Amino acid sequence: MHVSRAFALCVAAAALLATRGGLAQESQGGKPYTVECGANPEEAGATLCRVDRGTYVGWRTFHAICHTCHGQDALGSSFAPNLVDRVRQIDKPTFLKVMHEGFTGQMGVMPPWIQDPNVNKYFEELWSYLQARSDGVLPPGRPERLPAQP
Amino acid sequence: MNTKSFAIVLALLVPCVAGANEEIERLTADSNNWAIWGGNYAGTRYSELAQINQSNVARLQVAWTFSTGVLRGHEGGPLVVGGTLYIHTPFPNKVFSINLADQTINWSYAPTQNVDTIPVMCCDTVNRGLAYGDGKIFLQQADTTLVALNAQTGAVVWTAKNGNAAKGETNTNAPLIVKDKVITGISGGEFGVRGFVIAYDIKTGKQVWKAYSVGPDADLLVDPKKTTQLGKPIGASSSLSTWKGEQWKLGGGTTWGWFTYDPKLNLIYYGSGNPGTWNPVVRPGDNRWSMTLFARDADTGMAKWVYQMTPHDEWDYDGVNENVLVDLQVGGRMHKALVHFDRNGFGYTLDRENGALLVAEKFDPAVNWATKVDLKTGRPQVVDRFSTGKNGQDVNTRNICPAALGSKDQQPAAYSPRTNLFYVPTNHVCMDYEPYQVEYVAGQPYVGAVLTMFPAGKATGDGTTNLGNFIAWDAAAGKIAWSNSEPFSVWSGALATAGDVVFYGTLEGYLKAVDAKTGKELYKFKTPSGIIGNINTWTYQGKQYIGVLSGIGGWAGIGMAAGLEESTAGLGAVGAYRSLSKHTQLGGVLTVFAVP
Repeated sequence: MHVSRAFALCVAAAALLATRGGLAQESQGGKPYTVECGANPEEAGATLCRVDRGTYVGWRTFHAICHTCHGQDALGSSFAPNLVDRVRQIDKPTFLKVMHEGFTGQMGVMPPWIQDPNVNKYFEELWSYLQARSDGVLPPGRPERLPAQP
Repeated sequence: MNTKSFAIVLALLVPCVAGANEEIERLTADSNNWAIWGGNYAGTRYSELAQINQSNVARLQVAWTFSTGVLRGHEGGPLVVGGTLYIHTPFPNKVFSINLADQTINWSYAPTQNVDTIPVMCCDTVNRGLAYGDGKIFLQQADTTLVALNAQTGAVVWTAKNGNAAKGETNTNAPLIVKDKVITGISGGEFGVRGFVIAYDIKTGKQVWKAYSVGPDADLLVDPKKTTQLGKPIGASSSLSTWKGEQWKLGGGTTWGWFTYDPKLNLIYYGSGNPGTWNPVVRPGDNRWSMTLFARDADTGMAKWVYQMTPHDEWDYDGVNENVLVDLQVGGRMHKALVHFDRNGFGYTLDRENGALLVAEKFDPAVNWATKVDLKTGRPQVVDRFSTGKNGQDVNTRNICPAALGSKDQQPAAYSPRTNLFYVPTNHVCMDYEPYQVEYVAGQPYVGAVLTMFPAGKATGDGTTNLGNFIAWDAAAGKIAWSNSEPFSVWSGALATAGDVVFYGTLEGYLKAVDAKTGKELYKFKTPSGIIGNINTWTYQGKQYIGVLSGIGGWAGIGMAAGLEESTAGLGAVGAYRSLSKHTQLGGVLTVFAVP
């Protein structure tokens, strides 16, 4: 019992380290993103969310390339799935595998993004953004950057 | 042989060369047919049929339906010649010949295309339709193969390949038959593809001429002394001199829109797309001849005149929309005119003979990236606040109207000579746009801008939430005659008829009929899926039919409205009904209507 609890703690610690991912990421509670939302001082009734650098880069990469198929805010299109739902069903290794190999879905065909230098540098960041969206923590819309941590 | 006999022989030979021309002019003059994408060479999408009219269109009913067996965006529309209907599909681009007597399939053609074509089609796997001529049906496949099929049997007569999907080259356009040639273009402006128009021999599929949109003069098929813009010769190196270094090699100017033709002037008209990367900072200069209207000689491909509508594009306002050829009285003079509703939100009226600019006015009042177009220089007066290039890379330029998908995209307008009005399916969407540096790799997207889109009402602050309008436009005055608001962009091709009824389709899937004079809605029917196809009309055994493809997709199908599911800035309580997916799912059905 004592040994397995220690083992469980080790596994948990390893998982925490794993989700911390690359240098660009910060995390809150083991998540690969930091999101802070509040009232938008410039637009009455609107929400403004600030995110860590990795999640912001993920949002940006998504809305430069992925959105043409997966829709604005990853909510899907007539020929590519809603990733806010889809990402809840897969784990990170599966996500990375799909980004490396491409994916043939029921409706469309996604290329292997490992071949695109404008995307393949940002797989971790895309994962952060999509996790923040699918966890319901980051609503639709453009986030701003949190101030850099000292 | 002496001069006189030579002249006689020449006169006898000319009809042979003009063969397909005269056949198409004859077929399209017969309103029982719908023999070409635009109803006729001028692209007016107008029918003389008046059996369906204001007094009976409310009683329109579905006569028969046909499922294409394919899903995703169904653009274009059916052709009808004699008692036969020809219909095409999105990728894999099947073709069906249907006997109108009993709706059985005479023959079908199912190309085998590599699925690697699909990921390099930026904006859904659409196809804008077939061409008919010289006893053949012509299909421009997504994988750049142009196919000539025997119209009776569906057998392949010849094929020709325009490009290479590994470089990001694909096709979505409908080809055009002119005389003894088949004219087609190329897609791939989001993959750094250098655009061109190409003409093939109608009988053999051999290349006759090819004209690029950007690059050295020899590639452009222009004459520096004779090809003009607004009456002035364009001069030597007119394109190269407006690009930095070798950026022109990735210079876009693709040609995926509609082609029209004036048989008397023997000129083909089309427009070119974006200058490659969406990041304007890396390509200083006017980037000619992207975003340009071309008038080319059908025999040689030589450009008679050009007009660049959006020099140094900073917003992806492709110039590929259709050019409708109508004789109009403008400023007290009759002109052989050309009317073009550009992505950039301006409705242009030009003289199609000499390329003079007659009118350039906003066909959506929300348009804000330019205050106006200077009619003397032809240049838009760009507003600094909305200049994504001036604001710079990694800066979010906000609330630009229209959005990249424009005040109108590929969805073609219609014209009625009875009202002298154009009927225009429009988008009412604005955007934030942030350019940034990207690398080019052949076959990978080469875009370089972050984009978010939203209803124009958010940018104008007028509280509206509609994403589209169907308008009637006076092209001589440059004014909107009436405007019907629509919850979603109107992405279908319009149809005008002598019955004084105008038809269009909505993204929810409604086929609508409206009064041509007032816009009042007279009929609507919910078809199986959102409509991005063109509504065409014909007769069979004396009865008039209206046909339209349903099948949501295209750029409209990216579900941009889905972003409005939750309350976003400034919109108040928008609510879940805004999402397009609440109204429609994928489909692929031709619905044919008649008054019983």
